[in-house]
Amino acid sequence: MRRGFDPRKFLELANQLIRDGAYERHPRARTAMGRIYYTVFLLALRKLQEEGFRIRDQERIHQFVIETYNTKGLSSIGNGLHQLRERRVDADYHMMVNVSLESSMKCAQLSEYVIQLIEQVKEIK
Amino acid sequence: MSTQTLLSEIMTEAKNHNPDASSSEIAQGIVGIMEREILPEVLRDVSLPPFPSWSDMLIEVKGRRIRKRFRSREILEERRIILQQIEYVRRGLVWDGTDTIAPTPHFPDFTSVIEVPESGKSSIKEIPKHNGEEAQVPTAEIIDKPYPTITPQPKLKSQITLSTEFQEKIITEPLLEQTFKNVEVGIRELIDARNLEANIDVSFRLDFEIPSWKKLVINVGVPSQVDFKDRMNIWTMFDLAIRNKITSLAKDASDDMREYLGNLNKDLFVHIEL
Repeated sequence: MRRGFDPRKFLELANQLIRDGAYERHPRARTAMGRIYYTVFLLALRKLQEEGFRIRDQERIHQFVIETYNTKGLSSIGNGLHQLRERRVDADYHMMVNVSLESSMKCAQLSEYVIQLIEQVKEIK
Repeated sequence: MSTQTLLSEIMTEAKNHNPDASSSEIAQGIVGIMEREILPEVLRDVSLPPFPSWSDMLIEVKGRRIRKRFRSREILEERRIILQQIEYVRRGLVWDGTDTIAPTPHFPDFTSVIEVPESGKSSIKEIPKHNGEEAQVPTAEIIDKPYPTITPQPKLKSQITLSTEFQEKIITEPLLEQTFKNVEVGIRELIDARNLEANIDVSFRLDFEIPSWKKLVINVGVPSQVDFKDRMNIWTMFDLAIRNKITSLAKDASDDMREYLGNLNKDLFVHIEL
């Protein structure tokens, strides 16, 4: 099966950005946060699609993915996705909220943890 | 002949004894004396009206929801807050009077906080009924910190803080109240069993990109020295404790209740402070 672009590449880029002092701190912290969330979201979405779930409402695709994990007894993944989503929303929309490199690093660590949980899922009933 | 007021007499007298002082300095001095000497005595001796009954409070809450004409009763809420503040100031003055005002409020850190009692017990205690419906226990509120010299109570090792919106929702939604009562017991049992130090914040949040998506977020704060692995374990433990309570409630619940709990579980998120 052709899998296309690997979302983990986004996380690699995020980690490179976090470490790369050639760029300004705050823009790279915010940019990294977005890539971190999308890595986990896209892997979570792909897992659902592999399990036969169909997305009916594209506008609510994020809500669908997160809620599905909650309702299928996989709330650790739902919780993680939601927490990362809130940080991503802060990074993208809320300029008065401090998004630091430290918080981006912690979110990158959290995303690794949630990715592991997604990879451990054998079946979604 | 003009009659001098008591205040102007005091001012004149003070001016005579302190010819070098400005009017502003004299006024500040008088205010200082009143705050230190007179006001505490007044507060100690003042006779307070009775505390509003639970049933009156319930009618007020319902009135706020149902009809505008009941809104005049909101005065009870104001009275409750004023009485609690006076009681608070008295306690700060180490007042040992005999009349008591119920309920005794708790003001740790000046937020609406529920103390962590023994495990297996909810802070939502047995409450009186009015016309067959349970009255709601009002939470303590502080409008302003009346005396800066009063030392706040020490911060609790673990505490659960409810947002104002969540508190209001609990008052008006019996299913949520019943559910959260169980969830809270689950949280406290876990805190006690594992001897955890955790600050739990409960609040509703609207999604910024999908405004119709309303979520209940329970945020778990743990001390900064807790490492990432332990943090993840604590996170999992809280999530399990909370959702297990919801699952066990759903077991013997009516269809309506089961549907309600299903929807709550779907949009309930436990966060861990990183």
